[in-house]
Amino acid sequence: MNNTDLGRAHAYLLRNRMVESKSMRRNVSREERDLAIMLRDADAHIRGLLDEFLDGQGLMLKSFSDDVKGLPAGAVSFVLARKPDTNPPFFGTERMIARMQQAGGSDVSERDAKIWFVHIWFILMDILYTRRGCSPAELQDWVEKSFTKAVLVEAVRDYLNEEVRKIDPATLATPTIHTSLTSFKEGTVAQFCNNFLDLMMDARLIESIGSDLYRPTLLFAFEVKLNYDRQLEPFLTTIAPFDGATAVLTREVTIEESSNGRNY
Amino acid sequence: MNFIALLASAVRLLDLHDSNRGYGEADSFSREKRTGQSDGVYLDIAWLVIERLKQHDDLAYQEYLPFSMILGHVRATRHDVNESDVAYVLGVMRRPTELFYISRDNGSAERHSEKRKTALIEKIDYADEYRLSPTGRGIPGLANAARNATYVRGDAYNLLHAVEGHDFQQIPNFADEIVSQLRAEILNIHAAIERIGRVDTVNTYIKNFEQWKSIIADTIQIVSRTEERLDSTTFREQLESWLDGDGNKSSLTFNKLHNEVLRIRQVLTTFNRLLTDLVQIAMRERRNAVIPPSFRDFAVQLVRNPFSPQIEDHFFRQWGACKLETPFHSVFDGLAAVSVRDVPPQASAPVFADEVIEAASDIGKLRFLDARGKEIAARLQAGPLSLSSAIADGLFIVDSDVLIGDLVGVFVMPEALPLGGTIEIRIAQGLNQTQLGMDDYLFTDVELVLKEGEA
Repeated sequence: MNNTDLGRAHAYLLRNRMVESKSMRRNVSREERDLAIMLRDADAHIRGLLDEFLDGQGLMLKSFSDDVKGLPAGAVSFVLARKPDTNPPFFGTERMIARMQQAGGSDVSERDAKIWFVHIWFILMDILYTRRGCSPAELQDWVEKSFTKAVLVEAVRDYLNEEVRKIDPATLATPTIHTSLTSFKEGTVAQFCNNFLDLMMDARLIESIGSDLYRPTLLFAFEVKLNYDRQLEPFLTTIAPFDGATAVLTREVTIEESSNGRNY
Repeated sequence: MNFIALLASAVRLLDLHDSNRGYGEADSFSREKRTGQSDGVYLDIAWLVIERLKQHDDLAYQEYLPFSMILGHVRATRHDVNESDVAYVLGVMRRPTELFYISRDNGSAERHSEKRKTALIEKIDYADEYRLSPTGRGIPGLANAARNATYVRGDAYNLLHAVEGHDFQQIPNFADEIVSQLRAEILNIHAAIERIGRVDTVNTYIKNFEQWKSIIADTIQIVSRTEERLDSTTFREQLESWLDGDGNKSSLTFNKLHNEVLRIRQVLTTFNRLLTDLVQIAMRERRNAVIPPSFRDFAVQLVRNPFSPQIEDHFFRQWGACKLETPFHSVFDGLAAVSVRDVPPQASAPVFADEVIEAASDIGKLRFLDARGKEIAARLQAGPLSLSSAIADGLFIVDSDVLIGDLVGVFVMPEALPLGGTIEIRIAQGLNQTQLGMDDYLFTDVELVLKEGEA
């Protein structure tokens, strides 16, 4: 693998985020297969160089082979994950917002697009992790996390009807999110979900594995595993900062320790 | 005896065998009834019977055992068992049943049926004595078939024996078997490390950790020995002569076999590392699996307390469906963005017209001479011609163009006229005045005279 190959691999990775030598679910192009083999066989020096290079860009190249479920025997898969706290400068959000705005025609402002993306994303996480009782650190079960579009749309509707609409907007300091989430028609909600899935597929975070059947990719599972602790968990604990602090400050005391007169 | 695996694998197949669903009907067809006593007593008796008959078979091959002894064995474990229950179980076990199946042994699918081999035990005629049938004799073997990586050492020996015995075709099969078993275990360990709650697998590994360690160490040793045998000259020679043999179409090569064996060692090393990790994590009781929070509840909280713009921006970049977004501009970014109407070009490129050569006389004075030269010459032949009379006669007009300058030119330089003789130019005294259209012309009159005979 020479420097030209390195550049080729880098460009492909930035564009597609995943390189697989073989896949059970999609056709792998010859270019992709060649790159996967090349990266697999690259000597340690070149791989180290690529890793350092990507590190500076806030990215991390992780390879999977026999150690993960769902990969064909002998196949190798590389994913380009975003590292915590780095905000990879190459990746932009303009296209994402524009695509979400398209869901409701001219009525959807940029603010609405952002709000809808965030909320659908959290509902998707709820479907994939909370409902299944799956730890965010769990990578192996990515193969089993399939869902249909109807499930997502239904979950979003249920969330809007059962949670959001029951909040009295008068009690909110800033009712922007409430207004945005409740002001669109049923059909637009489905369209938001539709565009959301398109975007996630485009970013290789979700893949389509059949008619109307979707599944998070290995890249998605790996990013959640990699970044959950530092990037998502702190957000979640901001809900109840004191609870979060309590969890950190306290630890379980065994009977022996208490009987020794040590108090925690 | 672990007969549950055997039973579990057989029961679904039996279900399908007994199914009377019509072909093409709804796929949700279900008619499963497993009423029974739900206590497993009959099964227990059956296994005790098989166990006793097996013991007897080992002592005296194919000899029959009286009912009373079977009953005695069952009663040693199940004291309260009724004689008729044991007789019932024996009756069921010796009953043959007809099984239908399709065989593709000869390339074509043929329907077969099997009846004789389905009885598990046989009864001697006219006496209450029993023994295992050939099928029944196979049951302990099937039930005890070791199909997990604990027995990988045995499989490694199989591989070693295949290499030593030069059974080349079996080598990839044995190697695959080992690798696939280890791979399944590796994935189980990975999943066990990550999972919350479901720790049965972890406990199994912890309990048998020492055993596992020795299994791995032994297996690595056996695989190393296999590698040594593989590298020997004898093996290579044997392989070559086997490959060169008549009608051998095998695609095996030495490298392929070598890689197969090498792969086992790599997988074993990974397995060893992971197993140690798992046990260490479990012993410290510090799992990195956290219980998932309710993301939906968080979304609700978000309605009340929205992200600050900075956090929102960070969230999008970290978790959003981001993609490489036009940092490298290309000419194709704006492909066909502006449509251009096809307008014919206004200025044509210079073309050398070599077919139609323009007559030199078309240019300047020559054009005038062409048109009026002969007429002027004729007038001169007739007598003197003055400029004023030529103007008056309108000789300066050619094809409605006014070429007065050309006419004057001819009078000043008359050599250009098609005439043979000498021409004299006489200049008149005083000025002449003529009106042409709107303009007044003031000039000295000139007269041309042809001198005859001096030509």
